[in-house]
Amino acid sequence: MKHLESKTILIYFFMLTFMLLAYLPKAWSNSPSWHVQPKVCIVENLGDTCEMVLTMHFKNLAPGAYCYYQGQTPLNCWTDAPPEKTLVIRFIEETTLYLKSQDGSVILSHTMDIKARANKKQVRRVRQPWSLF
Amino acid sequence: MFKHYLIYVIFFITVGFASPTLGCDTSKNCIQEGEWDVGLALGVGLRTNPLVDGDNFPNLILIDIAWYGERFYFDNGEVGYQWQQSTNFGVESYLTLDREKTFFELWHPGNLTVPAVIPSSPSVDSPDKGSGDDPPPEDLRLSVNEISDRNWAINFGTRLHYYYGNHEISFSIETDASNVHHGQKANLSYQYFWASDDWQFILRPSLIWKSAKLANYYYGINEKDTIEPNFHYSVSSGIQPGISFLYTKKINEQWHWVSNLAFRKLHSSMVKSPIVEENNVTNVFLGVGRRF
Repeated sequence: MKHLESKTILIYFFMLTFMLLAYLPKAWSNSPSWHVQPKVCIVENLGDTCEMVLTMHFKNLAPGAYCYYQGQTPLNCWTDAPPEKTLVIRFIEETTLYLKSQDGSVILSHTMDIKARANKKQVRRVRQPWSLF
Repeated sequence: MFKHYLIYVIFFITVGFASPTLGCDTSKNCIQEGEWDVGLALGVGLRTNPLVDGDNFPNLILIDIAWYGERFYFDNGEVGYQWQQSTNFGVESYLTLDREKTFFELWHPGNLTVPAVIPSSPSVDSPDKGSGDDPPPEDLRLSVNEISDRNWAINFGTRLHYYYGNHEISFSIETDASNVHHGQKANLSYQYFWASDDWQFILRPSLIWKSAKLANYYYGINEKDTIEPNFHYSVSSGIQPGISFLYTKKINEQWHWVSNLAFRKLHSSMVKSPIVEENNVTNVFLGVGRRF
């Protein structure tokens, strides 16, 4: 009897696993996603402001009202769901772009890095420039 | 001399603990690490010379040259090593040329001139033969052209900075490292730094203390300068208050206006020296400069 129960549980387990494996890829493929370019901004020196135009390609994004946020800062909102959108963004250090729904929940996010070409930093001078004495 | 170095070593151990060098935002007096920053300004200006027959120095060219590495730096003639540079605190040691000599050297006609202020007053023959401590009468003035040469000195110093926002308080102490005047110099200054993308403004009041040995080497008069004992005079230590302003404004990407004004009042014992006829040094410059 005990042996039979174990066998039944095992069958149920395999069936459940099979159903999940069959269902999840479909669920994943239906979830919204985006492809954001570029991913990295190159500046001359660390601390310089990066300004660039981002291009976003959306997949499976349901029609509705959405807003872009840079960190906690709202950027702009739109109501249609085109496959491609552009956005001008400015930042001086690593920042995250969010796509939020009208109720404020995060639908998508994308982190952008910033790299310095010169890889050198600004340091403080210990003397006054153009000093006369 | 050894005692002075020992004081410095103890000083370093006390305050010169190692710490990483932090960055600098553009609202401060910044420079790109590892690159030469060379500025050249052309304009009009003048630096007064307080010495008798000392020519004023025309400020037509102003040079600003600096290089900062991770620890070592060069800044307008000063070579130094930064023990610490954090957001609020900085310590460095440095070697610098003592600029006291410039009053004697630059534009100095040397020995070609005729004796200048040979005292004509009866006080030359007064019974008060220069003891060295009492100042000579005011009409006894000795031309800088008539005294022995003063040498350039190299000072070794340590400077502390305290930064708070746009404010800075710094204190430095220097000692002669070249066995020229064997004296010391200390500088306590406050600096207010105000800047935007287009301009910067620096206001810097300061107090400079000069030791008796330093002041006396350059401004004291003894038998090496003149055999006339009435001129002999020893300068004592003193504090010289001063203030300087710097304002730069961007004209375009390369060029900017540079205006600089500095004033320093000399201490009374120095002013009483027979070779000193003015009680202050004023420095003015207005021009256009660019960075390379």
